[in-house]
Amino acid sequence: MANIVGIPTTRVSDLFMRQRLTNQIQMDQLDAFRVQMQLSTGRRIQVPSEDSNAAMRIIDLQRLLERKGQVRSNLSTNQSYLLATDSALSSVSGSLAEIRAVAMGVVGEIATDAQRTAASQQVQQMIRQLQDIANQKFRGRYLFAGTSTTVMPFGETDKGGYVQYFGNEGKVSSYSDIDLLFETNLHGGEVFGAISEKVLGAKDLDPILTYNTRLADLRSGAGITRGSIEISVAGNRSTIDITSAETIGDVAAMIRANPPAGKTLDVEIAPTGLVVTLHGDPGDTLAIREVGGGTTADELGILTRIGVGTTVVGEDLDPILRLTTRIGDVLGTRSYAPVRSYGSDNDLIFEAPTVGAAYDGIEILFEDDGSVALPGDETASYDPATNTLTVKIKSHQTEARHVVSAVETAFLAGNVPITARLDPLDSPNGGRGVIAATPVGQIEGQTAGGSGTAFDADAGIQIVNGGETHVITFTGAETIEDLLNVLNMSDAGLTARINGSATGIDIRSRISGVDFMIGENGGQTATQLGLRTFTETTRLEDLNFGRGVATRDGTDFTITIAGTPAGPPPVPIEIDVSGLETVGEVIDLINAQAPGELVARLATYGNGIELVDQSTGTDTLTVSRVQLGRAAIDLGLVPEGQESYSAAAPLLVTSTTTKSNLIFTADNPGAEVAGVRVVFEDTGTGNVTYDPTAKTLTFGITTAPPAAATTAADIIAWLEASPAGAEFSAELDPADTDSDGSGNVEDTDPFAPPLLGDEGGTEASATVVFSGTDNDLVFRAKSALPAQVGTEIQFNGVAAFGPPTFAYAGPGNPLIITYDSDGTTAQEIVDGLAADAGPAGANFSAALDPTDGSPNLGTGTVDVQTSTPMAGGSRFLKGADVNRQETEGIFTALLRLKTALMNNDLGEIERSIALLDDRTDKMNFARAELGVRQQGLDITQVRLDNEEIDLKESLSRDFDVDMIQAISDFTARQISFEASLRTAAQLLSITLLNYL
Amino acid sequence: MSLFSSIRMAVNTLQANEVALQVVGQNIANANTPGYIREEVLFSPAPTQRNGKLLMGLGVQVDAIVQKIDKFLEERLRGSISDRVDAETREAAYMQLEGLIGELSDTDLSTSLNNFFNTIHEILNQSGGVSARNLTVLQGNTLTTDLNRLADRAMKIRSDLNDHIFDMAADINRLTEAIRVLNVRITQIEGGNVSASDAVGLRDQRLMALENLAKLVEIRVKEQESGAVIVYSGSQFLVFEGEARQVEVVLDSDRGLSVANIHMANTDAPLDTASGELRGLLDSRDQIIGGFLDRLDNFAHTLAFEFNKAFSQGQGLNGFQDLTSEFAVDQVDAALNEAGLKFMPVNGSFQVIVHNKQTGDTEWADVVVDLNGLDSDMTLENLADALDDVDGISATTTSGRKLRITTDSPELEFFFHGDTSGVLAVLGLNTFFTGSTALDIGVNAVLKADPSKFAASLVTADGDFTQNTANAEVLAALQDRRIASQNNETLNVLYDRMIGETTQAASIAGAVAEGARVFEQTLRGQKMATSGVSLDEEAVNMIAFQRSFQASAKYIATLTELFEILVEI
Repeated sequence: MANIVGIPTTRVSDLFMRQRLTNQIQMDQLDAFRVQMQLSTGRRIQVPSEDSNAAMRIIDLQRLLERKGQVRSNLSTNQSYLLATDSALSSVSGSLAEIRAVAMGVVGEIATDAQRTAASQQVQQMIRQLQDIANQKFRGRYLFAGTSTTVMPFGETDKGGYVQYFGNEGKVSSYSDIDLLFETNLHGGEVFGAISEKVLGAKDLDPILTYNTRLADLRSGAGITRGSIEISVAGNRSTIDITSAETIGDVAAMIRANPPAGKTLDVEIAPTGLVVTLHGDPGDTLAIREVGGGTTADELGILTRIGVGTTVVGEDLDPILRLTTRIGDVLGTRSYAPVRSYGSDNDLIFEAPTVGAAYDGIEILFEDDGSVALPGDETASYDPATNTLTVKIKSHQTEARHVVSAVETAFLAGNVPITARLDPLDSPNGGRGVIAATPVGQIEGQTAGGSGTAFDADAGIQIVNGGETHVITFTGAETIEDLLNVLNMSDAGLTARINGSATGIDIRSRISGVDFMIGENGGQTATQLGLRTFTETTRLEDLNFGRGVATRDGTDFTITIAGTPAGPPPVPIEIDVSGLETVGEVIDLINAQAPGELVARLATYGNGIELVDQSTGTDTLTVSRVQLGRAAIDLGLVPEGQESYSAAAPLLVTSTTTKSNLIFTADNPGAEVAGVRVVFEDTGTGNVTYDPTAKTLTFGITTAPPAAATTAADIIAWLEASPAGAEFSAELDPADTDSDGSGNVEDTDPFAPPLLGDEGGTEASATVVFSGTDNDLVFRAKSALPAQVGTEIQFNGVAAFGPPTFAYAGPGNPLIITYDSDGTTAQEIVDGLAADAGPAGANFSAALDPTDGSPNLGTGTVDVQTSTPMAGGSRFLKGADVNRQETEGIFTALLRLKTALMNNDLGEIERSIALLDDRTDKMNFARAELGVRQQGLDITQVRLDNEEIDLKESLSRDFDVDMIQAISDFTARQISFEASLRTAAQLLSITLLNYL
Repeated sequence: MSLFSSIRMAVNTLQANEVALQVVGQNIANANTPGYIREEVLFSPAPTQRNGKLLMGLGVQVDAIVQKIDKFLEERLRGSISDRVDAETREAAYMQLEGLIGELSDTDLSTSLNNFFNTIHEILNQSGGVSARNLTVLQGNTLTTDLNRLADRAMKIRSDLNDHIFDMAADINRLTEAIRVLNVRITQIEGGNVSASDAVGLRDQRLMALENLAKLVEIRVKEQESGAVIVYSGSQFLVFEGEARQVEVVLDSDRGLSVANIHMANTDAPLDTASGELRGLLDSRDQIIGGFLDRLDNFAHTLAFEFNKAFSQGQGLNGFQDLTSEFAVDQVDAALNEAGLKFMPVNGSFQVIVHNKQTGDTEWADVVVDLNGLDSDMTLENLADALDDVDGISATTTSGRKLRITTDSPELEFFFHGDTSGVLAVLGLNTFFTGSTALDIGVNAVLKADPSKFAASLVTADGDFTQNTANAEVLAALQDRRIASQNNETLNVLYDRMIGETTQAASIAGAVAEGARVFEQTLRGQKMATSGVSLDEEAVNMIAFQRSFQASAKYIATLTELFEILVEI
């Protein structure tokens, strides 16, 4: 619509008239053209500025339509995945029902072996068929592989033909609306039960707080609200904004840098929380408050209550476990001592290398005795007698970094037990602040705060999965991630990860159809990690795949112990486990029966209950069922089908000659090697064979002529050289006076060869191997009691130390030997220990390892090291692991069913069918969920269709031209234009001149 | 009193009418001349002559020929011209801009943006596939090319506007010189108001020159008694009677362009004008196009940074083995937040995952980006050292002040995770977009060469970091995520605001220009009502003067008859 220009009221000039008429015509043409454009494009506006408000609506609607178009594409693509998944699963339920019927049909006495074999083959067929379904691919995506859509999810294990899952439990999601995600897959776990339930992971490894611990990781992962805190001292206040802080170190540095005016604050990052100390005037008290109703100070654990004095010790900030958490930072705290000096850039932290209280109480001194000529020449030494670490310095010239360097050097050389580092809160230039000598009679600091027990990386854990035992050790692992890598990279078919609450580790099995267990390997590693599958808290009702422990009225089983020598025969100890709920309660009950004689505990190697008989009589430790009660079997103390189970006496193979008695021990624990017979056959072959099925270890000896006859030493050498040496070892019987193994051995009685016990009945022993020769040592406990089993022997070298000293603080503690690192020989250790009047000498003895050198002269020097824990012990009986785990899935059910059918194991068939039913239900549940999802998508699709119509209508209202309106506008313009032209022509032609 | 004197009086009358007719003729002749001011002849009775006791009139005399002009109206008209040209210049700039943006069509930037995000949905639909990732990379390339093209064309318009300003100095100087010369000549001809008549033609020319000058800059004109005019623009004289002040072009640098500004030559002060074409061009160049470019840059900058920030948290199907940062710092030993980077990192941390492709072994490492401002903050060198400490990778600063990370052996690859400092996005490590403005935004060449590195995955609780599409879920929703640095607005809102502000302003500029046109037309109408020639009016005057001339001639004839009678006596 053209604008209306005002017409002057006085006179009209010709030029004005012409210009106005021209303008008018142009405007009319423009208007007509605009309407013509609308008509030809069908659009009401051509550029946004013609109607900017409508244009913005149009842009918004266009965007919505474009994005909704993509959402429609998402829906149709992903509906096709869901449909494919549904159709893949549709036949499974029916087939499973068929298999169930087949299995039920051949149970019992009537069915023949051939029928059962046929049924088991059908089950095998079903497993194959299911595997094909589970590996189905649609549009390039494996449907049941989780998010690993390019990896075939199910495969057979190399050994045993079990089914292993290679996918994950990830959910593939897509958007079903602009802000609405929906899942487009079912993973193998939820459909087939391809991954086992989590193994514990409930153990809180409780990592310590370090300078770089992130705020987001504190308070069990809840983090710290980034706000401000206020610190006030004697009316002076400072507000500290920690909004930009990332780590607890940042927070500590910010607090330290912003004390109230005229005051100084020391901040320490203790293993559990912050410690803020005020250096003010006498009478000053420190108060830390919130700012503006925030929660930051409270969350940091340093919000002060009234009257706190000058030090605020923060609450436990409980950092979560992360992949990068160092293994040295879990399971306890390290002793440490902050040492502050006047000035800046010189604060130090002395710290123990491992967690535990052993390093508490070390005093630290800086001494200037003139021995340090120049800064850089500092030395550090440790006096165990006074438990003092002394750093020789040049007062006021030695810098903090020199101290760190001196202590570090001495630590690496084994001369001092702890290390030193710069306090990150006070090292802007790398520790160039100077240090002063400690005044006489004072100390710089004293280590404290150590707790817990260091992680036992070397002992490792035993994992049984897929019928194989895997011993996994963590030697060299530095971080939690290294530990997970060891677990995940092992061929044990495991998935290990940090648990959901980020406090510990979860382990799960990916293999279906087999037993799965995690136990100890002679140490405490599995327990420390909370991974042991059989613990004192394990509930009896969960044992034996949930069958629990069957009890009877009255006594369930009896335990017979050795009794006293020459005493009356021991009375069997009656055990009634009725009413007990956990394995721990069973152990406690047994331990309460004959204190000091019968000890029950969890197995040191693998899992199960171990019985240790400390009595000194001659009877054999035996567990016997009472009137067919199953409790002993269900607890693993008596093998299935047997009435009783005895611990064999230590295997001593004697012969009539002297210096020929041998003691055989199994190198690995377990029922498999219990009851093995040792057979000496006069075949003259010199062969050593071990038949695990027949449980015989056979030596082909030569008995004549006497000069060529086999000696005890030959037996030891043969065994070591043979593959059986990996399973067994033999040693000379120390009771055989001055035995050097030179005596000949003899044929064993072919009808009653000696039986090998679960573990040898010898004292606990450990061999410590040093580099070089003539220095290896064998340590032995002086008693055959189990208390010393697992004892570690630690060597600490200290320069210029003199004769070795021995320390032993009782069971559970290491035997610590401090020796002169400049040259203590093995013989000196042997003699020193023998002469030691303390608990070390009372409990242990050392001998030269005869295998080191020929002979071992004991002249080689010893070096810093920690031995493997002492193995062996008194006679004991190791029960079976009755808390086996399994991957509770369809494949497990079928594989178990297959085996059970072949064995006609009714109980197992029932259990497998129950498991199959359970998993079929779960799969049907997953299918139902799939259906619901599809239905949801259908509804979304309909909604999207309606929405699109609405959107297009809205868009049309704003954007499309109203044709009727436009055409009538155009007609009006045309008429107006014609009128305009006509009047213009007439006006221009009329003039007075015509009439002159 | 005599017959002669009567004849003399009649001759005067004839002459006066001749003059009047000539003025009528002049007006008729210039009836269609634009800018012509209608003239008018002013008559007055001739002086009285005493004859004895009688006082007798001596007929008519021509006092002056004057222009019919309303000077106040002229001043307002010039103002309205300045306003109209100013508004029309802006309107034209907006029109070009709107054409450039091409919004409402199916090929505009918003469509390109939606297509880009839509392709990320396809990654979700085809998880695990490289082809969908490749499509996203290609669509990202289209988006960045569209942004580049838009920025480039807007800069071209800006450059054209600048050239126009550059040329304008000569036009202003030419017009002020013309006005100065006309001032001198008018003063000379009119004799400093001695003459009652106006130097009409010259004044017309001067009016035209003033009007042309008003088109370029806003001016105020003050006429002196001498007939000369003084011309101001803002507080500065452009013409002071016989003197003209020259303007000159001063070059300056602004947003990547060598911009021309017009200054007074003698004082070097910028020519201060509130309207006129110069104002319109300056505003179009600096605010309309420049402002749009700023908003476009901000959009591109925000898109690149926010997308990269989210992208850099993720991991691709394959990791990196040799990666050099996109952006260089000014100094490798300066704290990263003071090292002249385009984006700003903050105190935070990130993780590096070194993965052994053969064994599947992974090595995680925390890298703390210490920018807390308290102790020595992290520099690029420190970052390189921290990364170098991670087992399996080596990091150095390059001679080009960038960070280069390489694996120590071919079976290793590395990924990034959990960056709270933004340093990866800031340095351009594991990022999607390169560049930081609409003109230089692009897609990372590493991704173009290997789309499998598109970081669609995020570390899961299972420890998987390559096989999922969790980061693609985040990236696909980024369009609607509130951005703290942009007042919690989303990318969509940012885009809408950019277009909305342009559209709204264009709409307003159109309305203002229309208003200015109408106002000018109205004033022109008023001016023509006073100064325009009406042929009918001139015809009436002509007849009147003709009749008057005829009457005077008849009067002379009558007197001549009287003389003859007297002679015949």
